Amino acid sequence: MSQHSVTIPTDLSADKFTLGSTAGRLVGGLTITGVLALVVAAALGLGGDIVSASRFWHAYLAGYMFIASIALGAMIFVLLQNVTSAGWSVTVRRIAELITQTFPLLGLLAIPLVTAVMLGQTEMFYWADTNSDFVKGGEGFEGYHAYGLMMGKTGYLNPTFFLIRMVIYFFAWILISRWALNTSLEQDRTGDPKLTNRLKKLSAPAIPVMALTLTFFAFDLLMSLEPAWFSTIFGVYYFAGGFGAFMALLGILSYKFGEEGILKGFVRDEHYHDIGKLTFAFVMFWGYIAFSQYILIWYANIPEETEWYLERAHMPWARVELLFIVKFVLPFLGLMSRHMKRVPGRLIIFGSWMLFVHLWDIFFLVMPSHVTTMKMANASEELIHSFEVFPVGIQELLCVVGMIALFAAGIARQFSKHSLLAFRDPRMTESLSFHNP
Amino acid sequence: MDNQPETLSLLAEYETAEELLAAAERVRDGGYKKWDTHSPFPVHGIDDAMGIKPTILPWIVLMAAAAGTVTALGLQWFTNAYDYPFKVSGKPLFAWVPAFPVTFELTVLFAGITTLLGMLALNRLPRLHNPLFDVPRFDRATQDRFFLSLDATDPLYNESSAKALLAGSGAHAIEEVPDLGADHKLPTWMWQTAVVGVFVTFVPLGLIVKARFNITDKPAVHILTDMDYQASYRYGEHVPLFADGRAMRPQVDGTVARGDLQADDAMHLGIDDQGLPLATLPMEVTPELMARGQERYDIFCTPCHGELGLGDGMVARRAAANRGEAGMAGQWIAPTNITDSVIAGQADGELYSVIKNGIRTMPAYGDQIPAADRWAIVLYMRALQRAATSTMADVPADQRGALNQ
Repeated sequence: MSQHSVTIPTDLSADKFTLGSTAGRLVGGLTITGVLALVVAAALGLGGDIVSASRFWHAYLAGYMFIASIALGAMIFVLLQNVTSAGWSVTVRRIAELITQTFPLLGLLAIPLVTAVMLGQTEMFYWADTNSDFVKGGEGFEGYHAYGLMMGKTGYLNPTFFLIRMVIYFFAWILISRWALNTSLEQDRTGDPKLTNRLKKLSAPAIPVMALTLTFFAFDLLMSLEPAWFSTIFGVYYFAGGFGAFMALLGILSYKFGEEGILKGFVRDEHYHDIGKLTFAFVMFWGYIAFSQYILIWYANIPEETEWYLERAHMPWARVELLFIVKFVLPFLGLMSRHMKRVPGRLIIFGSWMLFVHLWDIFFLVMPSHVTTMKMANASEELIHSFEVFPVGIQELLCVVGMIALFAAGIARQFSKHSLLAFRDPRMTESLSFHNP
Repeated sequence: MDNQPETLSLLAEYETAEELLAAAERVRDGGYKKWDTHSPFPVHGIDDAMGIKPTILPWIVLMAAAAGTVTALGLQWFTNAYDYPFKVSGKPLFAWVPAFPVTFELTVLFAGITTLLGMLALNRLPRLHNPLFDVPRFDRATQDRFFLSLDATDPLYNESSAKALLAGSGAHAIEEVPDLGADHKLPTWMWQTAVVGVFVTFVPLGLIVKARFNITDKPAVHILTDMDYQASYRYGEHVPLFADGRAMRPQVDGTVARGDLQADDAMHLGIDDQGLPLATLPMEVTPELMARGQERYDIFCTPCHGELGLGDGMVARRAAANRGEAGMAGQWIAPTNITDSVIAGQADGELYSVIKNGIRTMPAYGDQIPAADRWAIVLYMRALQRAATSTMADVPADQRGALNQ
């Protein structure tokens, strides 16, 4: 059943690959669900004391960083395909390009976080107001235990500079993602092969921009939850998880459209195979990065570094060993076989698992910081203990569901507007006829 | 030998990869088993066109990788925790985290080497000569032509039908590959060199064995000198830089470094007002202090004195085992049994002084163990001494049963 030569149908048009109202119908419902879930979570959390407000903010941040990592993974995937002149991915690249159009939405969702920091709300980011009694100690609060170390970093960790950085990140991301999609869409209209070369040329300088902004984005929103702690590999850690989660999502979507949807005949087992291989590669890469971070801190055994892992070791669900098993060992063994990547449906199972454990990983990064806040606010032992054992309550469910619903709404809106296939890409033949050896 | 050499196989030439793929499908469908295709570059889809089954190499590699994992973990566990268990700083004998990098490397190494060797073996390589090379036309297989060779030993092979099949597949030329009886043996000089090479590799091993079982009075050979001779000054070394010639700078007269003030003689010297060794600890005795003492004792003292203080630590046992060897006899002084009645009869301050300043062959530990920890160790030594003279009557009545088993 080999295809020696592939002839591309000549009657292709953007309408043929646009989901239109099929996806458009979902947008309204998903948006209302998302907004409602987040508003209810905020009302529940911000109406109470410091502990409940902190719980809301941490849940909000966890959901937010989950969807943000996937969009960032999609952006880097697109740039990588352009730079390497990848032929295999032509039929699935547009899906990624459309996912990156959620950056404006992510910018909107970041506004509550930035506002909280600018207003000096210290229950999550202790550096937002270093003079508050809660952080400094006073009025019944013990203060942040590493206050001195944090004060040494205020040159970087201060609300004004944070705002400036966030503006830079989203400016860069929206610019790059818009440019990449628009150039590709222009090719849909004109069929000009020179546009492919332009994408290739300009994607190269965009990659270091993405690498730096992504790294500092992870520093600002995740690492700064524990201002005393630091790990230079942290940005790579966030990227590795996010890229793997994006590949898992791409596997699910391309299977959905390729097997029973509008990309039938364009996306097939060879594409699932390649997506599966990249997912597998990033399972390994995440394991490699996560272990590199762990072993250096474990070996050096310096208190200000080990503290971060020590907090997590108290929580049964956040044990490093457990995370390695669910996010590295299981998918590694599962995705190893060629069979697993090609047989329709298998990739869906592992893709869903990868997304689930990535969310788990984000909880691992975010939630222990809420325990620190609870201790600073002198919360009861029972409350702290129950959160340490299982950190998922109504707040977390609402925030995660709300974020995912809004993210899905943003993607569905793009799917309803634009073609899902870059059908006039000059490498289309290559993508349709290639074989995995 | 006949004038007409025997035909080994038929060689068909094609101009494009597409022609080759189409021809391969025809030959596959014709039911032939012993045939191959040759192209200047990898042709996508040729596996399907030839009907080649997926290779079993991945499974072999998986087994090798698993063997690498088991070997690495087993070797580290065996050497560290089983065969020569040497306690370092009270740390566990075996831990997963530091074992991982070696495990990773060995897994990858085994898998990588197996991939290469397995690929060669499954392809029956290296092959010194292929009769196809005797056909001048075949030179272009590495340039711009595509070939299909059909082996004459195939059970379906019949010269006329095979030729018809290849001609029908669009071959531009069909040629018979003759058996010229070329010498397929390895040239003599090559295997002779190989044999000599193998023997040469035994030389370093032999030297190591010789060194292992011989004693020499010559100084050690320094192959890599950067670690053996370092630029830093050692304690007590002379240096022309300062007037007094000392590399280690003394403190300025009349000053004490931060945290180094040792004004309390009882605490830091272990003596009372009259200058006599203290009979009891200058600190409050608590379960925490005892636990601390045990931990510090396990780290600093067990290598020589042993976990029970009987003077049978790892170092002592190894020295005893080596005593029979030349060079060791008569020079080794065994570590003291600290549960001995002489030691047990000494005052706390005296034991403290030994830890701090050392005694006979035991070095001073004052630089490594702070004062409070020295007292904690003294306390734990008392516990060991008490344990050494205990009888069944000391064990609580309800726990004697467990001990008797």
